[in-house]
Amino acid sequence: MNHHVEDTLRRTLESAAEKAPELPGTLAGELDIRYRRRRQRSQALLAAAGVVVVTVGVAVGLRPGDDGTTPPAVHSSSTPSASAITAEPVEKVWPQAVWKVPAKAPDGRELRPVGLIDDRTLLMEGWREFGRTEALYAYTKAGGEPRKIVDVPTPKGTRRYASDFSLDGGQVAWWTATKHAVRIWAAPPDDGPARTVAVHKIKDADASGVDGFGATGGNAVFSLSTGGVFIVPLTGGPVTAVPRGAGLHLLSWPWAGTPDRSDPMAGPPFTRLVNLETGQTSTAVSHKGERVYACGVRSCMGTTADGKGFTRGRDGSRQKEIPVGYLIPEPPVQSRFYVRNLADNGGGLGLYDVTRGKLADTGIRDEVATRGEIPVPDRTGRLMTYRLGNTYYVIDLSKIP
Amino acid sequence: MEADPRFAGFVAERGEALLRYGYVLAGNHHDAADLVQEALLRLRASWPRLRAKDNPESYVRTTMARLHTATWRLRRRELLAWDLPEQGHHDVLPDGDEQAMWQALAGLPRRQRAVLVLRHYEGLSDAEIAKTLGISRGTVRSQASRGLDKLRSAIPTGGPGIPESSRREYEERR
Repeated sequence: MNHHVEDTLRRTLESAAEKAPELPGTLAGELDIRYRRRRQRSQALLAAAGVVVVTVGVAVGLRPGDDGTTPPAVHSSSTPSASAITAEPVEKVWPQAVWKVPAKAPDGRELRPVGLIDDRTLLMEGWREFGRTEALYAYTKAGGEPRKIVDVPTPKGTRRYASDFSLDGGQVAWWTATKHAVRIWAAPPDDGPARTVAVHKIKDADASGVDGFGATGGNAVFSLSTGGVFIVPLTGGPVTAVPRGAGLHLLSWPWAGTPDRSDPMAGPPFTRLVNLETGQTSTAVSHKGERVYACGVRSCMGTTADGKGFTRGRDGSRQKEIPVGYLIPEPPVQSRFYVRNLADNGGGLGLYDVTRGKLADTGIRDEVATRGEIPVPDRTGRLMTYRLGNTYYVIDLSKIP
Repeated sequence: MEADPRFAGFVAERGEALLRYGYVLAGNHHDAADLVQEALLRLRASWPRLRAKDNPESYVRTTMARLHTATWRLRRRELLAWDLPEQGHHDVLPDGDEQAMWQALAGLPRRQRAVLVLRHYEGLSDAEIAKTLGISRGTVRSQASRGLDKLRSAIPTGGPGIPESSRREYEERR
């Protein structure tokens, strides 16, 4: 009886397999294109968040975990062995700082935290198709459901969907791009609607798109990947080139510099910076044999010749050893909070406060981290957020004493 | 960045076999193609890190089996990179008792089906199946036995009849 079923099963599977459709000869090429597109997309996401994944001695660069089945090689360094510290859940360690937020809107859209509108209100972006934001939502700390506040338009011919939502006073600003124009948008983050602030002509969105964006002091500021920083009032008006910004890439107003993030061969990003308001310049110190991965406005991080992770001021002062793993440069963490493994052999991800020597368990296990779900900072560096199942964990770092 | 010729060679050489495996795993052309595409994309991403002793085909097959049993895949499907042949509304099925078996297979939960495919199509041992799917050997055995029970009750020894319940379940899944 058993054999009868198993024989039929084997025979069925074999003949069914013969009915599989044929693959086109061009498949490998198609897959290559998709692979690159996917990688660019995830790299853009992580680059925007400023996340760098580093292993002892070997840089794997920006690693979004887009290839789910291979775990990222993340090792702890010699800053106190993770196994020697017991980690409690983040919500126990920092109860005053952790919010749990729904990852879905009542209308079914996927949500992702953007930043804080005020101390008690979180701004979130919502989409149905990955990366194509259709609306903004507000979620209040008191609870309840996320509330839609702004519809985000996608004009015909859009090549780059709404990106880099930035809060400035009573406005949220962002940009979209068609092949030949960047469009800057703004809306009040309570009840819309979105309005066009300016349209700026570019040569080709794929080659000269926006690589830095921010809203500050009533203006939108942005830089193009071909170099050059531009400014326009959020109330509208002409887009003007910022005088000291020629050839530079925006890091965080008023700082712009080189090299940009896109070319790994050009060296660590933003080792050279210019203050566009005062003209002050800053060149990050780098020593022979070490590897600097990224620089922010105040500090750089990298690994020493013997593979130990460090963070230090741009001028070389205040060097501190940090756990090697997922390194997130400032501004987010003010060289204080680092994502690291819970145990020397993995065991999931913790958030480590290097100042107080505290390690908190994020609840992210290795399998989830491998898919790219790791805590990322918001644009201001005040929040770190990550998703677990249908819940976003939002950690307000400013509430951690 | 140039396309990696070794990757292209692998796809050309093994693509058809992988699609056949995907088809018996998933039971329909679209899911089969989706599985192959996703697994090959992941292989492409890992290609530079594959070592000489790594076997790309076993990497892809394991990925496909795991993807097929992972629920998150249901929510993350990408458009296919190629057009499937026109099949009307129904995929082509085998004939006779094989047709009954094929339809009964469609009524099995994904993991049970995957265990049976790995055992009877791939010819893997229970230990290998456990490793491939990331489950215990005991689970492999219980899933296989439950799956076979269901198939047995769906396929009377006399002929290719299918109980109404399995047929309904099959139609719903389509």
